Amino acid sequence: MYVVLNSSIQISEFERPQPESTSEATKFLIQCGDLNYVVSTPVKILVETLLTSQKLNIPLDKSYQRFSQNKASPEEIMALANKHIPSTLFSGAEVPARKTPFILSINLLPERILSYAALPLALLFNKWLAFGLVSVFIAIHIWLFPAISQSAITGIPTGDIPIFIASMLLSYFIHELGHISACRRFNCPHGDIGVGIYFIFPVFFADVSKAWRLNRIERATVDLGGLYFQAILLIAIDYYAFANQSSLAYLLSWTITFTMLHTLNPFFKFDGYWLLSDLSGITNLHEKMAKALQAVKNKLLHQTPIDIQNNKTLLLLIPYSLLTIAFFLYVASFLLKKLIQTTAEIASMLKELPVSGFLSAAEYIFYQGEIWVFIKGVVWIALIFTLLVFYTKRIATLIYPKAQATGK
Amino acid sequence: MAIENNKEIQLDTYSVEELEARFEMEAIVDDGGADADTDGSCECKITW
Repeated sequence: MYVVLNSSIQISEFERPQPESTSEATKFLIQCGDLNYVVSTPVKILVETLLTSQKLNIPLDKSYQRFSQNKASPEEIMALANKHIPSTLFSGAEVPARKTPFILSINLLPERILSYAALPLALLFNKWLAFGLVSVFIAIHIWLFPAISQSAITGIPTGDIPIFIASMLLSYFIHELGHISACRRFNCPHGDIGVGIYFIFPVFFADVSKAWRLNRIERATVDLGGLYFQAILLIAIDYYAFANQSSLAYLLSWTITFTMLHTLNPFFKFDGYWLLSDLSGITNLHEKMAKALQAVKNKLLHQTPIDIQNNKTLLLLIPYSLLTIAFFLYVASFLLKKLIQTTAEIASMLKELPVSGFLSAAEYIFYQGEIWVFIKGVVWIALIFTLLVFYTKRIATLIYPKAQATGK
Repeated sequence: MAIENNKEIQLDTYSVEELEARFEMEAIVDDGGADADTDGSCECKITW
């Protein structure tokens, strides 16, 4: 049976090997809707062959000869296409639901509105302008840092809290707008801005999946776009804080700096993760951790040498994977501590109830305003327990990937 | 097959890797800055 490919498929170059490299070959990116595949040259030739044959209505063997300079029968070409082209690229194929990293998410600003808003902002990515603005940010921020860090201790009056929260939300939004504007700078399509829950974190996010079509440096610029926009915002906040000696502005500056550093964490899929992936050229970092850990396990248990000569990515993947495991264990221990603490608090609350009997205790909790404390405690326990199970499974999957794949 | 005999293609095998969706995220966190009436110690925490 002849395969018909989705006509919206787009092909572009993904990675050109280093001139001195003898083992690597040019990789290509195939995009179709929300799907992105990196393929080798023979797969790209197969896709081009089929698409051209469909579009120009020419025989498959002629189309194949044109792209590969080789001869093959239509049956041979079809057999290869069925074997090597992902079925999700076939016309009319059922595309699986998009894999997102969120437990739940809501889109706040659609792509069509953002594309207008981000167009003028894309000018901020001019090389010299960016250099100037970042230099000003560094100079002002370092100069005012003693006062900024002091604000974390002195705090702000309760009445300023709503303005503080609104300003922080604006800062998160500006961060995401930075990613979108970087896409616009490189004429790359982008998606929406939204909020969601990722692991234990409430997050703001920008969908930049189409940025895979950009080169490494451009992708890294998209990764840093959020921090760059927040740095510009901080110039204004720092100036205001200094000019008005505003404790609120100083605290904002401190908290935004903290979130900027937090987002450079490469172990979760924050900006630091994408930056590391793009600069190193290693795609699907989390997925590839399993292979690196397998290599370490085989070395430790079976004395199998680690083949760094043929797989240089292990040089980065092994330390990254070990650090990620250590980080996950740290988060898991934090959650375990919190679980024990919260359980003890709830138990102590129940023990100190001035009434006895289940119904009397329930009535007391409900009517004496303790209900929210109780619900919060129970939700915390349920949430932490779920996360602990998740983390344990995740670590087990990384160390024993085969057992997970076969469902054993 | 004619294709398999081609030296250039033999060097470059058929490979396909699906890339993960790119969502650039920033977590809503604060530094847990201490209240004015505390001793000034602070602890990183997640705000919900």
